[in-house]
Amino acid sequence: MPLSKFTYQARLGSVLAVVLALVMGVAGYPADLTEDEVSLRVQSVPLGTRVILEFTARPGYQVQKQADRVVVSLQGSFKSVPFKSKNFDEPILQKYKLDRNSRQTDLLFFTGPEFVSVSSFEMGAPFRLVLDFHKRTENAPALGAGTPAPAQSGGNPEAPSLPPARQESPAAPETGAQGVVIPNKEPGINLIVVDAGHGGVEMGAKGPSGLLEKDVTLDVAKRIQAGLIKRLGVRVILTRDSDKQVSLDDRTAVANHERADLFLSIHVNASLAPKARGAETYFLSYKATDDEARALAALENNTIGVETPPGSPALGMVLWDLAQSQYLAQSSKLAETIQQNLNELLRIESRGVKQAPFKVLMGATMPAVLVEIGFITNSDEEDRLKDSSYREKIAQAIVDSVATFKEQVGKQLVPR
Amino acid sequence: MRFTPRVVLLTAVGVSILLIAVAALWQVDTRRAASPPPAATPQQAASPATPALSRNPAPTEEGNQREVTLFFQSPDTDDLVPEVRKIFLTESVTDQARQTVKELIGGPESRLIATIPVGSELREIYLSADGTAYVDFSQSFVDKHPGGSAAEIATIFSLVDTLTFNFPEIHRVKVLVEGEERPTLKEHLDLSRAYVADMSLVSRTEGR
Repeated sequence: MPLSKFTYQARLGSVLAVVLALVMGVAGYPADLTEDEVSLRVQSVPLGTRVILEFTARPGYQVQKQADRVVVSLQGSFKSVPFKSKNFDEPILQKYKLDRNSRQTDLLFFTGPEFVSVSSFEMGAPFRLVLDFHKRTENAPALGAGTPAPAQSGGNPEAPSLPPARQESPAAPETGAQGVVIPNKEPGINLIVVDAGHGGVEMGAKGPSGLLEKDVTLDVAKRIQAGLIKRLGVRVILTRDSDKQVSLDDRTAVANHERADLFLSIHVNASLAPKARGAETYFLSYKATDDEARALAALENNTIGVETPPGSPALGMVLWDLAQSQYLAQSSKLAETIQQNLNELLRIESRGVKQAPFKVLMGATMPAVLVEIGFITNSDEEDRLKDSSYREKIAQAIVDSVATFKEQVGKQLVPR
Repeated sequence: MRFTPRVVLLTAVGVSILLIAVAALWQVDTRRAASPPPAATPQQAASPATPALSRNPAPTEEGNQREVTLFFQSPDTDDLVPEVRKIFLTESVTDQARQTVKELIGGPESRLIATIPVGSELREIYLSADGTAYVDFSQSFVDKHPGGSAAEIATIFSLVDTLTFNFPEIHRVKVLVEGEERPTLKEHLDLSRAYVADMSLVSRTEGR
């Protein structure tokens, strides 16, 4: 009897510990926002202007597009910080104003001539409602070339130039009860984003004789682009096509905005050990932090992906960073194929697929892998990487892998 | 489950045990400062992840020193390999952690490879009540880092594994540079988060 009582207590204690840990973990939002405040941040992004509304808790809300404005109606009385109103005088977003009474608050965003549609999604912990004000895209110049960032920073002056976006219909009114909305699209692999790692002042790794990662990645990415178009007839977008800096967020933003079916990030590795050689293929890992592992477990236990059903208890814990979570099985499959092909090409068997929490893979709403095509820190591999026929072979091995993957997706051999 | 008096009583007992456990953890820091290092507990001695390694801070002949295990890059494989050092058994865990990170920055004594770029300085180390160690490096930590996925992983996890392995009070490690959060070191690992240990990167065989 004393023994069973002890184990019972121990079990109870551990349950309580878990509950306590969860409560402590969830309460981790910035404390400087009060319950009746909504914080506003405005950023310039490749698709237009992004407004991030942050709350201490998820409010009842509705987003409506009207003739000259987008209205976010909140249940309850809110103050907006750091400003109540603001003139942006920008072609997408002209003015912001707060209109509230004791029961409802309207955030009014007056739009400009370049504005075409608005989309919204939610992010958890702390709760954020993200509004994307899409700009006109026909013959659109690269954002940043002629369009200054509308408000405080966040804009990248060298964002990649965007080809015309697929047509999007502004859903109005768009209720906020949908979680993150993943648009419907044609099945199969039709559009691939190839990301040449680093660029501009971000030079990446450097070889012993001075070869720069950013130059190799750009060349190989272009070769992969040409190979994919020729071999598979798919559409391919490069995140950069010259030696310029592109932020990591913008790289996935392009892929998400274009609703790409695949995201391939091309890198050249560096090791602290000069002997290290061979290729490595990575897909995203969530294991590295206990917070995210917990959030992911919550996601999985509710068998929900990013499309969170309304009212789900896990909603508050869903991080935008977890967007990639529902594509991990596919990302893993693609990574395996690439790694196998590169190992065969390089005649190395010891290297396998790896997982790591890489920033550039987070938030990609499609299968996404990062390929380290070789070690620039190894003198032999650096020499080989200088050779254009060697780069072509690497690119072809990756194109072959994508072809295999595309076929598997077509035959539905790839987990959904 | 029905809320009978028995369940209520057991819940109360459970909560009390939890609170006592939390209070005990809070005391660890102070007790360690006041008394010689405690002998290894059975759980510590039988750390399942790395059977070859002993986690307990062994008292040394001088009495006011303890051993710490640092993890450096293997020259032959992708692994991190342990190397044992002595630090002063100073009053606070924070100070011991500071000494340990400085030893890590100083590099290995054996043929292993340093994981923190030469020239990096430790600006400060903070330990929060929830067990997160904030390790604040100077700008050279970024500027002199070679980049690359493999090197970033080695650098970050040699630090995370070293701190979490030697200090049970440290559950996770967050890297800061010049007092501020950075999105990444060199555009690979996400540094906006705190990392828990990944002992799978540590070699199962002892370092040479």
